[in-house]
Amino acid sequence: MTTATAAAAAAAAARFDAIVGNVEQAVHGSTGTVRLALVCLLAEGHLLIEDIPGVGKTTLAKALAASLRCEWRRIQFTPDLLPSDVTGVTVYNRDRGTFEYRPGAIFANVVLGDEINRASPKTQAALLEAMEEGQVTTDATTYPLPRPFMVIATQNPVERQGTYPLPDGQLDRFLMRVSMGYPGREAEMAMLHTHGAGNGAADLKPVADADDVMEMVAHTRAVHVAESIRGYILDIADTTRAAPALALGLSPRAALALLRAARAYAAAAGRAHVVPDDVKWVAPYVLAHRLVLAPDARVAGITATSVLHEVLARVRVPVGQ
Amino acid sequence: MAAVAGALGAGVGSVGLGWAALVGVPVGHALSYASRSRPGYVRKALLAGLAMVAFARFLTVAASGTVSSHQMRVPLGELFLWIQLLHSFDLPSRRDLLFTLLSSISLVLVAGVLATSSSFGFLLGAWALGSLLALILAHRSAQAELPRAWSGAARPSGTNPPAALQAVVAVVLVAVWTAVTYNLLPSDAMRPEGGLAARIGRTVPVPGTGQLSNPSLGPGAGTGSDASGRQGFGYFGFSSALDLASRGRPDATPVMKVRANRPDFWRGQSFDTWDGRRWTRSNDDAVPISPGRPLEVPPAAEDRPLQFLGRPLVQTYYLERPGPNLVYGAYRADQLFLPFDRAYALDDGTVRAGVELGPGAVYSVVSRRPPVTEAVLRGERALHGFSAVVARRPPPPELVARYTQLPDSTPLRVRALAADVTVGAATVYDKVRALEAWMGDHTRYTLDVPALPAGADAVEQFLFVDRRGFCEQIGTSLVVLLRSLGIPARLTVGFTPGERNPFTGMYQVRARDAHAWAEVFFPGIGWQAFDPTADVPLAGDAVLASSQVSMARYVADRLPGPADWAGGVVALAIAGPTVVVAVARALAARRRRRGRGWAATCIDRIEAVGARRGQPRRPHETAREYADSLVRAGVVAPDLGPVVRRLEADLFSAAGMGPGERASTEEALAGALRRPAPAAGPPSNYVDTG
Repeated sequence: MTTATAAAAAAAAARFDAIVGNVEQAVHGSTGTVRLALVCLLAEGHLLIEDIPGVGKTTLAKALAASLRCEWRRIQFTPDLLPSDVTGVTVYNRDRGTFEYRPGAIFANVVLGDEINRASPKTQAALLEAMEEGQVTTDATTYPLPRPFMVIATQNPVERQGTYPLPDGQLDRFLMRVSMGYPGREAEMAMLHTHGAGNGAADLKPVADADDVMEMVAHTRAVHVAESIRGYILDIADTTRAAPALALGLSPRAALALLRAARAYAAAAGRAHVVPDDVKWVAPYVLAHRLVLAPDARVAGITATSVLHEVLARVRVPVGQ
Repeated sequence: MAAVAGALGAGVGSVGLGWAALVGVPVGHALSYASRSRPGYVRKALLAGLAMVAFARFLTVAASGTVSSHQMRVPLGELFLWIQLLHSFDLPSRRDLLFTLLSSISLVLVAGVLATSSSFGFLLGAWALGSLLALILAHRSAQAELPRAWSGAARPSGTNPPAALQAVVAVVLVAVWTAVTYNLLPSDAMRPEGGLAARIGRTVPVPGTGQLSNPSLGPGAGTGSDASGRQGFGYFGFSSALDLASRGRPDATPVMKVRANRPDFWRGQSFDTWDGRRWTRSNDDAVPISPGRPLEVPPAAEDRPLQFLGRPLVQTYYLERPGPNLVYGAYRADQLFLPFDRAYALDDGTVRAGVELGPGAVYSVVSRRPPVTEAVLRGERALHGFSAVVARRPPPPELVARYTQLPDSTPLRVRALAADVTVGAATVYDKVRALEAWMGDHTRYTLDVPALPAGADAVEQFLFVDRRGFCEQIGTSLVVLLRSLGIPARLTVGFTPGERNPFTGMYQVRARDAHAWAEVFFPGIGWQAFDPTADVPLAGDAVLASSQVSMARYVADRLPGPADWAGGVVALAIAGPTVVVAVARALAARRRRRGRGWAATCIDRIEAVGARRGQPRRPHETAREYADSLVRAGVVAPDLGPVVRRLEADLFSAAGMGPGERASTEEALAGALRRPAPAAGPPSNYVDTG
């Protein structure tokens, strides 16, 4: 590692830590989740937060958006939300006598899609192109989305009534799925203090702007991935494809996602290269929501996460080039 | 390397080039290994230029047209030596090593063609082993470069068969392939096309014109008058006279090697005049052979009808000791490839050199050997239409007179014996066989012969008194008995074929293989060798054992006797597996070290230490996880964690560490691997954020 890349890596890591620290003023006791959310941003991916209500999903998304000096919007997904509400609509301007495109809520750097599984599949699908391609096409015209662009969606796993489960194809477009978990007692105590005093996320001062984020993204893209690491990723994907508990193993897009996430995680740790631990660490968050369990495995109570742990325990870790 | 040594051993290249290659190739390999990561365009250009020069040299020699296709092998070998030498300076990767290997095959082939001793076999073995290893290593590194795409949960860890097994399989395959190739190759491939080998170390002319000179008999000898003053290992028959009172046999000194496609007597000279005790030559006039390439040997008068009959028998003689200036050759020498111009023909078809023939001299002889069988010798079948006509004619009277000469002192009972034994034998051939059979029944071959009493007839003494003798007595007796019957015969001296080394295909001729035998004249067929003593196939029934059998026999002759077998088997049983295991382990260790780099070796060290302390790394553990678990278990110092992170930086980053950083990391590693003092308490759990 040359000194130049080492310095750049350290600078990126310092900025990363600054954002994490800022977000943590509002979100207590979930350092891992906060870091993962930011890793997702660095990897230019989208984040799906799945947890029970009231553990701070929305707070995390708002705090993250507030820590960055960039545009953010919130879309509350409801059963009557229409695709055009998300992507925008072309309306007739009577004054000028022309049709004009009015951008939807998705035209922002950070889009918070709250309770995404409450919207109809049609509206969910409207998100697909935006998430994958970073652009919106209406009436045969393509509008690019601003960069960085990140969708943070939340969903409740237990609230089944009135929800539409996300289709596999759309789940695949989220780089990571994380859950918050209950904060520890101390963190919860701290939360009671701060939130009692103010509004939490709304009071945050931004610590980075869009250009800073793009710089970090560029740095992430330059993180070196050794051939053996790529082999390790492929080994993991291959092993899931042969796992009997899974109806469907990992897609090549999943392997690519794992690579991107590992890169971003390495960049966040201040390294200019990926180590196997990066892959191992992000794998459950990147992969679990992409695995489709076989019906009998589902009946037997096996979860995708447990299968993934088994897979990781079976794949030989590369030590050496 | 072995190929280079082999080619040099076979005499390719000058001394300077030889040393340059022997020293330069290892140096080149070392250099190119040391600088393998640098592009080195200047070096490449320089080497390319030099290679062009070498190739131009080769083309110059090839285009000059003064060398025959045989001699092209030497410049070709030199060219490949040059290429080997130059290429060794630029071997950035294993793939380039394969090219070296390919060109070394050519070197080995040239060496094999030119080799004269079985020590080439050891070099060949070393070369084969070396290239096999190189191939295996190249294959494995090629495999390592492939992305690992394992399919199926059955083999998630993708284990390869062990290196030892792969090596064994490869060895077996190569052995099978070699055996198949060897057995498919035509064994009688030698044909007198183009030039044949000829070389001489020094050219010291023999004084006079065509006189016999034999330095191997020591000073003052060579006249044959008295054998008591004989020194050295030379055979007393290679002189102007052969005295049957001589006793004692030459020793096992190697005299020469003969490459020939069939065994035969290597004739030196013949004697025609017998006085009861010694043989001399009635006509020692040596006629200079007109220069040319090859030299055409003028046939003797009686051989002229046969001049173009028969299959060629090519012999190349590699002299190893000083000897007589006789140019050996099977009957009947037709063409000579001599490294000098002065040669003399004698009227019995033998040839003398005009220069001294010493060690290192090489010459080739093409003989024409009529396909004589028993039926032909009995006159039942003719060799050829023309020879059938000749055969019906009586032999020329002057030839009969010359080769039936006997002294008046020949005892009557010798003549009577000849007549008695051959009663009932219709043809000359049957008479010869009858006499041979009688001698086989009534005399013994021995090297321990009593001295010849003064005044006694040597033949009478052998046949009726001593009844034992060696080849001179036996051969002389056969000639005298035949002459008494009016059959033209003469005594010829030379060498028996010697022992064939089936691995080089050469006959090793030793001083003790010097021999004397009878030659009998058959009209229309020529001179035919008969020898009751030597185990030499007669013309027409020459059957070579298959090469596999002769190889097995050759090896078996050299194996220790049954008494030594037990020890040998035990030693082999112990040493064999030990060597195999040691080689396999060394290979595996080398693969680990070389294939995976410095940092991987360090991690191997950590794993070894951990395993010794009861904490082996599980395959799914990353280096950090493993280091952390070792630290948690308290078997290593807590600073192993940071050391492992530095190692990982070398393993997985785009650019590795510098040498200085490596040294300091190794130092830190050694410190971290020390077992911490038990009093230190549980180590803190290292949390990674960097």
